This record gives sequence, C-alpha cells and structure tokens, in this order.
Amino acid sequence: MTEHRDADGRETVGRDAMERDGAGVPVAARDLEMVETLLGDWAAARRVEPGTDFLSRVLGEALDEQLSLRAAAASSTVATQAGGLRGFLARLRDGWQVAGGLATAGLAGLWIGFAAPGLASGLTSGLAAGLGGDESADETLTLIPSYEVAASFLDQIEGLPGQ
Amino acid sequence: MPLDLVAEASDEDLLARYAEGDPAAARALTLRFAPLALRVAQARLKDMAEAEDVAQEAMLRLWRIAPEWRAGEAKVSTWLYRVTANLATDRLRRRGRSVALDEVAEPEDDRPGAEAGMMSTARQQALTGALDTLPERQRQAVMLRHIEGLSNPEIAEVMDIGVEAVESLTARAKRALAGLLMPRRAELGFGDD
Repeated sequence: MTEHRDADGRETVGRDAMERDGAGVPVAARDLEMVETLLGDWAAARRVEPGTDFLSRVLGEALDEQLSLRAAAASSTVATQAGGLRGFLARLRDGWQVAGGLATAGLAGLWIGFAAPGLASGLTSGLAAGLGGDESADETLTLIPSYEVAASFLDQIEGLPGQ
Repeated sequence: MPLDLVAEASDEDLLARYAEGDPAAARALTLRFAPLALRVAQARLKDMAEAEDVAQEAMLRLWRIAPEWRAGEAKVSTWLYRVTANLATDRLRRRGRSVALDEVAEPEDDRPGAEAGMMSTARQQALTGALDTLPERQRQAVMLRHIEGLSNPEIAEVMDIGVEAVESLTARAKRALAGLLMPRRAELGFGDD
C-alpha cells in the first residue's frame, strides 16, 4: 500500500493503493451487499435510543449549569464594580483625611505665625505647667513655642480614626 | 434564538450561545450530542444504566467547558467522543473487566421464532469472528462507523488520519469481511444466487 501524508502530516492513502487492495481481495458485489446487511443488522441490534428520562436529566443539568455560569458571571461583575466603588470610597476617605490634615496644619501655622509672642509665651507656660512646671521644661518650650504647638496639632491629626 | 436558526447553527456556535445563557442552545446541544455520548458509552459498557451515567457525566463536562471552548481547536463531537470513551474505559477498569472496543454482547432478538433467533445469533457470531481477524485499524474504522455511528470526518479526527484514509480503511475492511464470509453465505441464510 502506498502511504502519503497530507498537509497536516496525517496518513492518507493514494487511489492507486485502494485499487490494488481491491484487486488483491476479489469479491462479488453480492458479497459486499451481504456484509452491508450484516453490519446494518448488527448496528440495529446494538443501537440505543436515548429515553426521554435520560434526555430530561441531561437537559436539566445543562440548564442548572447554565444558571450557575450566569450567576458566577453576574457575581464576578458585581464584585468588580463593588471593589471599584469600595476602592474609590477608600481613596476618597484617605484623600479627605490627608486634605483635612494639611488644612489643619496650615491653619495652625497661620495661627502661630500671626499670634503675638506674648500669647505664644503664655501658651508654652501653660503647657510647661501641665508638664509639671519644671523650669528646664519651661525654658525648652519657650525656645521653640511654635514647634510644640504645631506638634500638638499634628498629634491630634495623627490620632484621627483611619490613620 | 429561533428554532430554525438553532437547527442550522454549528456545534461551536451553539456552545458559545450556551455559554452566553441561551436555553435554546442547551436544548439543541442536548438533542444533538446526548445520543452520541450514550451510543459510545453503551458500545463499551453494554449496560444501559451505566452508559447513561457515563453519558450524563460527559455531557456535564461539555457544559462546564463551554465558556472556555476555543473555536477551531477540536470538533465538539470528537471532543465528546473522547471524553465519553475515556469515562467508559475508567468505568470498565473499576469493574475489573478488560477493555475491548469490539467486545460484542449478544444482541436482543425481537423477531419471533427460535429459528430466526438462531440465525441472527449465527450471523452476529460470524461477523464478529471475521472482524476479529481484521487489522486493528480496519476493525476500528468499521466499529466507529457502523457501531458508534461517527461520520468519516469524525473518525478521521479520532484516528488522527485523513478522511481519505478512513474511506480506504473502511472499504478494505468490507472487502476483507466479504472475502471471509463468502464461503458461509448459505449457512448465514443469504443463498447462493
């Protein structure tokens, strides 16, 4: 038999080979018909026709799976959207906190910058008293009054929920 | 999807529509492929209850793979044939039986009369005996074509050969069978003329 390969590399058989095979096994048409009859009877005896119960079960499972697929797809879409919304809100919240912190710090700076030295001094004295009235502490705070007040504001800011 | 479009849709189109949630595609695919899966399973298992279980499992795998089906890579029918055949083989292994593609159960004979039943049995035995003497690929091609009902292109995919080779294998198998059974024409009730 002459073997060839098609474009996909699969085995094909040339027409000449088929003719030689045919010539090698001389058979009458009636014998070929007999074989066809035997194969047909055999196939008919073994043929199975699916019952309606079976088809109903298969279809029921198909529709169940289809619903599951759709539910999974819908759930995935909602999760993506919710995730996006949650992310947006989180970013928004963080942004407001940062902006709020900056605004507070800015206002504190303005207040410190315009405040009269006497007021700042009084404030530091009060703070020193709160720290125990120690002289060295009072001196230290007096040296950098604006730093301490700003630090106090920043502590408050850092103490905000979500930081 | 209108019914006439469903009937004309390709297997891959139907699978895509199924994945998109079209219930008409589910019905069409069930009617188109469940009989094939059952036939393949029954040809191996020869037990209808087990064949139905296996065919249902194979169809379930088809439903689950639908969203990931890549068009053009394989025919749906060939994919389903292979999945069903593998599931049936696994089932046979669990049973502890040998796997034989051409293992033939005695056919049920619903024709009246003991003589007819005996003739039918004699024909089946003669045919299966002759099939057993064929080269493996010729026998496989005949079994896939006549018992499992696959088309020549589907057989070509399953056997990984060209369609022309399938036609050649089948033709040579039939000639060989004719040559083997010719001397038994009268015995098998076909007469001499």
